[in-house]
Amino acid sequence: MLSLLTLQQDCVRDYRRYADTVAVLSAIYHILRGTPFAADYIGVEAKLRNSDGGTVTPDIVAMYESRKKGLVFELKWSLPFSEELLEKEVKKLRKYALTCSQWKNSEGKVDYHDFILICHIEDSQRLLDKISKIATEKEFDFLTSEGFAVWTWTISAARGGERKEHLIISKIYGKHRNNTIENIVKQPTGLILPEEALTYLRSFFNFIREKPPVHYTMIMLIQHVFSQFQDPRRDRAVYELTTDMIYEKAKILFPSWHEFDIDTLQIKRGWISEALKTMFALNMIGKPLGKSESWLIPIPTLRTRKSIEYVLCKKLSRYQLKITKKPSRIGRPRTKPIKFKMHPKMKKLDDYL
Amino acid sequence: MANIDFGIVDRRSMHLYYDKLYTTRQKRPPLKALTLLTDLKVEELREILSKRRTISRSYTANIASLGESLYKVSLQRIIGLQYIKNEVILDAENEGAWIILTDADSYFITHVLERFFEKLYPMVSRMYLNYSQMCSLLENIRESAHASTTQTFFTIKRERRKPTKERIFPQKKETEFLWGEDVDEEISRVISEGFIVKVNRLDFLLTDERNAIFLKAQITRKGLSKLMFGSFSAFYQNVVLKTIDYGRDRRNFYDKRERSVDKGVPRLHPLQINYTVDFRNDELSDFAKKISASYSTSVIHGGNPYFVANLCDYEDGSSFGVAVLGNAVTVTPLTRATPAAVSRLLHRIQEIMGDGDISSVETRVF
Repeated sequence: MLSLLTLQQDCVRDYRRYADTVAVLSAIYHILRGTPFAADYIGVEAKLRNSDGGTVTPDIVAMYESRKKGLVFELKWSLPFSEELLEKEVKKLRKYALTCSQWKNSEGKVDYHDFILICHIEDSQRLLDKISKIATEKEFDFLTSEGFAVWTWTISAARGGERKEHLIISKIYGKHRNNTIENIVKQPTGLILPEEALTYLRSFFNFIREKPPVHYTMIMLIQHVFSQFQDPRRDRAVYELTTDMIYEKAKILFPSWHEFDIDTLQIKRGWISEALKTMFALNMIGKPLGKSESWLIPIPTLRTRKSIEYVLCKKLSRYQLKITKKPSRIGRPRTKPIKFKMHPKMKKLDDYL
Repeated sequence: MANIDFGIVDRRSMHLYYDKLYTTRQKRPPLKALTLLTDLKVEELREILSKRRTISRSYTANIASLGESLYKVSLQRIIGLQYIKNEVILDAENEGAWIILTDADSYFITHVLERFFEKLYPMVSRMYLNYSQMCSLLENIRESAHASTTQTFFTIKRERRKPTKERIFPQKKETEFLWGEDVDEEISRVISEGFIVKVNRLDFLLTDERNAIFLKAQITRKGLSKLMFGSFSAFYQNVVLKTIDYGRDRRNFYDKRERSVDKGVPRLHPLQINYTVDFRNDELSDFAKKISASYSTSVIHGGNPYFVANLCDYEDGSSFGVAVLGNAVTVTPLTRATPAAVSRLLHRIQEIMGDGDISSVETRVF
């Protein structure tokens, strides 16, 4: 079993990794919008139908070469450490590589599309090993074909005042067919994103398509959603809010909300519900009797002099340890078992039957 | 204890009384004018005090109207076993601002008056000024009074940036006077010597075309103006009202900066505080600790040597993204951002990092 400290550190790392991946999404969005000669930005979380009949919702969709070719970006904030789960994850990528049957442009259909997977540099080696194994299978030959690439991102460290930190995207695997972007990314320095990517641009979006760790959603709710209900005339107070009210206020945090279909809305609502339930389990919020969809939320919810992610991760880790811990019996039982002795004169039960 | 039962019954008598008091050469406590930015009505103050137990527990405020948007406020605070009490004049004539006038001692000002109104945040917010803003305000005062300034000096607080090897605790704060109206070079010198610099107050004398002094006044970092000598009417017109105008301008500058979504496209309106030197790692970790003490902070990068965090104002509910990179601090207002909260956060950052230049970041609109 993992120790409290390890759990807490992993929890904080996950929070930060997700937040940084959102920053990468914002930076790519900004580049595509700002440099239309490379590709035309189409949308964040736009829905596409593939030849299997299923639908895919990549993080960013763009088009290039007079909108005849497509470009699909998928961001993964974390990849599983388990070999089995990682294999499953890589195999799932196939859906993005399939032909998108209904992806149309003004002149007809899109000829083909390229697919770019973006992950953190720490996950890249494991991912590449897995890709090289799976690519041998015929069903997953898209992994070796042109039009599939893996990019990683990292934040460069400054050297003795020589230069500032930068968010850098570099290509580690494959090739896509957009020559303008390919030429920028394949340089040894990688694609150095503008400085704003590290400062204000990261607030452009708050979520990527992939489900965030629950504490990320909790922090978002505490800092950006619950605070919108706060009455500044009052001291700290408990507010009765329904999941729908919270969800309505949280909409602004999700990108391109107006394009979303029912399924996507339900997914996002599910994240919020899960975060609320976890907060309730951690005794951070309450629940009024007989109202299943209502919550009693103290605002400000968490008042601390430490950084909120540490405090929340500590609470979560403790709770996780508590529920995974098996109840152990230590020492002798507190009561002696009652031994029943039959008196010699007593009749046996059989005599009555 | 200062008493204002000396015949201030309306605005005219107030002007006459203070004019007489401060145009005679006599040693007396300066007249303080505390500028507060608020859209609140004075009558609403009672209701707020009843809702806010944290204030009403230790403060009592009795408000009596003198007419013409002028009020006499009797303010009392219990500190330990002591009752600290005094009377002040509240002038609510100017839209969006209150002026608190008093000649009470500095203990009452610091521990009762300023604390009381700070506790009324975010309904009532203080006006914060840094070095460049004080310079702009002084220019406005000069223009308004058609006068020139002499014997101007800035009082700065300097604090040594933490040395990487020898750690001195607690960090000593020192005061230094910088003479002149443009002390940019002097400040640069102090910064290059390894100090964080905050300009605390600005003292100045206003002289007319015959070089006669008609006003001796002071403006502080937290919007407190003081009249040491001169006509109260001139002080009110040229210093107090100009401070309010400047405060309103700043409030408009900080207003409507929250993140919005227009046809599915997010819009950001960030602000930047620029400095002349780059921040070091230890300064950033120190910044993280200090800012977490007053704001709900979730740190994404802790300052090695890049700092990013999301902040939420406990009292106001406004939320921000804060990034420190190189020699600039970028503040991005998020889901809710009132001008009072933006101004307070910028002030808090400058309290920690020293005075910088505040500017709006031009973002590209797609």
